[in-house]
Amino acid sequence: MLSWWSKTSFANLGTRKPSSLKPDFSSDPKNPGPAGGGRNSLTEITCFRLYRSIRKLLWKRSTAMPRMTVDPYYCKGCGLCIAACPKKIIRFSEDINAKGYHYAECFKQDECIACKMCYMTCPDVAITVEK
Amino acid sequence: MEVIANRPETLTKTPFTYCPGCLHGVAHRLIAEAIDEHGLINSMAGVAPVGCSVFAYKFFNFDMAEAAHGRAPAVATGMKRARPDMHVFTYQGDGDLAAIGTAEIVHAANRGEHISVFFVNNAIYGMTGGQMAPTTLPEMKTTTSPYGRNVDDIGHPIRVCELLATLVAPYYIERVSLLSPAEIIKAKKAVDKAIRYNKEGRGFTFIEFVSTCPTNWGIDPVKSRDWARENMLPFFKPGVFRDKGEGVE
Amino acid sequence: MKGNEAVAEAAIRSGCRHYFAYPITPQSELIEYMAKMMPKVGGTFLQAESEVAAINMVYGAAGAGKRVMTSSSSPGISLKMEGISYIAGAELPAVLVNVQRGGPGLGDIQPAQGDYFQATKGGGHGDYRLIVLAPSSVQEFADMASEAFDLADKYRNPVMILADGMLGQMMEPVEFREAKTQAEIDALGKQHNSWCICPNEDGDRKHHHEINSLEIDPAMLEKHVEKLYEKYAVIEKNEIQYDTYNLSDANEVLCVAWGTASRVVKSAINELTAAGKSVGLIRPITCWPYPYEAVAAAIGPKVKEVYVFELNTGQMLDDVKIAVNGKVPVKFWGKVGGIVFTPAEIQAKLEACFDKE
Repeated sequence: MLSWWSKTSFANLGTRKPSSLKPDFSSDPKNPGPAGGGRNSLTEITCFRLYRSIRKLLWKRSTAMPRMTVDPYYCKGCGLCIAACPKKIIRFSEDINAKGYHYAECFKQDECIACKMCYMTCPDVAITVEK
Repeated sequence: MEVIANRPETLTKTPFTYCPGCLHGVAHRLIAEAIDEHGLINSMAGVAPVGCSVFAYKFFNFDMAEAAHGRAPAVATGMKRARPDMHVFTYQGDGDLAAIGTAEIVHAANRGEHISVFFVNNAIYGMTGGQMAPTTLPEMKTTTSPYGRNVDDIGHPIRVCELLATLVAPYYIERVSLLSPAEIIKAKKAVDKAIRYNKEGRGFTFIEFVSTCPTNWGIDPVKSRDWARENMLPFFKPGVFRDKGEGVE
Repeated sequence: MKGNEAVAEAAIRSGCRHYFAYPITPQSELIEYMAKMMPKVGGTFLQAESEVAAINMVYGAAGAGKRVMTSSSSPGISLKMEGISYIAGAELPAVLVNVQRGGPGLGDIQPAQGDYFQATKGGGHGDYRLIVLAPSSVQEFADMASEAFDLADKYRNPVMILADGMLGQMMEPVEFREAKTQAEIDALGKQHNSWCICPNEDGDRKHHHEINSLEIDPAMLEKHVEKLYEKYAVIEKNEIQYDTYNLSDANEVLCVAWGTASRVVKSAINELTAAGKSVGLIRPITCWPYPYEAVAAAIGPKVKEVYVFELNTGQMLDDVKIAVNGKVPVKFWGKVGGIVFTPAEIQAKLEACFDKE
């Protein structure tokens, strides 16, 4: 399966490697062929683009982990981030910090979309957002 | 995984001394981010006021001066004239700027001093315990207007942006609000522009932030933003009053 | 040259390149001279919107480590008092010139010495000291400008030159010191870089200098004030200046006077000496630190009384009493209202001391 895949024109799309299946226009200056190398049809290009975006999505999903973290040292339990979060995944902790505030915490990190609204509104710069 | 939002380097590690939910911290962060983004940390100097933000000199990670009440624009003038290679800003509250400091801000603006002034307006005196400010709204109850601000006796609130916009010299004057993340994003753009203009030596820049005082208004931080939106924004309208860089005179 | 202009010229020669002030009689010539000359040397001249704004601009420029000056007259100096306290509290070098006029309140525009208390005993709030220099001639006035900047930089303290309307307005020959070269001025501008507001020149190291007089922790504030007073003790030890005139063991009266008043007293003393009556004069040049020991030491063996003459109701008088410490009676005579006494009046007062025997 893999060796077939690497041999198809899909895998070669976007590279400059001449495909053995198609005529090579590049060496004939009088006949350069259609723009973009001209080796691949419209269908192939569209399919390639679809392939590329699915691959990107799968890759991102496997490595990305949007999350927000509140540093209890700075948090004063004001509640603005809780109100700001569109996913409603921040709450006051049961714990208190050294100053006696119930600091904020995210209780459903995998629903975080890294929109940064919590960071935007936090007046104590207690929040770190990662994507 | 990359960090896309974090405490800027331009803020020290010292926790802010503001009340929970006070939006001073947001203003500080916006200013710090702009300074970071424009790479000005090595040439920046700020002037802290008297008021809740009197300790601002502890929060910004560059040279800071503490001014007498209301005098920050004069201190900034002296500093900038003495060290023109530095970029100078002041950070002031409504009492500092619009009461005792009215002469200093009007004249610094009128001279077109190359400084940025960040004015936090929350319609009350915070640090001293909730007295009336020049920006206190009509009928608003404070500890020195316990029966409500009587405009027939002591006048109406002062709109500083509009006042300064009557002067020829100021380069950029905008009023923004910090009452929701969307408004904060707009405010961030304004702060960024003010700092950029400062860096480019264009002239006097002024940003007024409509902000809250949950403690002295007696309203919780989340609801106090709604109160500000309903009561302050109709009088202190956000907008650009002057932007010579974009042809708004 | 006129006193007001001479001190301005001397300040510029001393490397002062920043001047902020507000017009007020009788020192308007000073600000006008600065307006003309500062731009010529590439300095900053700014007529502020008030004396309050001016002193705060001084605070800012001094916080940036540069030689800076302001000047005013009595009512304007009152306005500056908050700023002066802040400058002293934040330990900033600055030179202030007070060309005194009659007071209190708006008073009049004639010379007086009514601000001695304000300059030496406070004026501004809190525990601090101003180094106070009192000239008595235009030459001294000009020389003091240079001295004042050196003292201010050395001790990181504000220094006041306490002149009066007469010194400001009168014209006398002056010899100026060599003007500082640009290289010297550049060096002066960098001398405070270890603590002042300045750019980070060594790469990305972020220094965080604070120009501040706020110390909310009482223990820390106590330490800070103690540190200030250790500094003041050093100043008291090293910087006292005074002048004597006709001091001898034959003195039967010792006069103490400062500034313009001392000149009048000198003339009176000359007349008395001609008449065979021995009167000595000690003239404090620094009103703070006050030459207490020198005054006490100037009381000769035959001195029957110490006579203080001032253009006020008796302000330096208190310091003289402290110095004399009851050794002999201390008398006082003064003129107020902006009126300067004449040598004849002083002479009459002194002769009365001799007539008593």
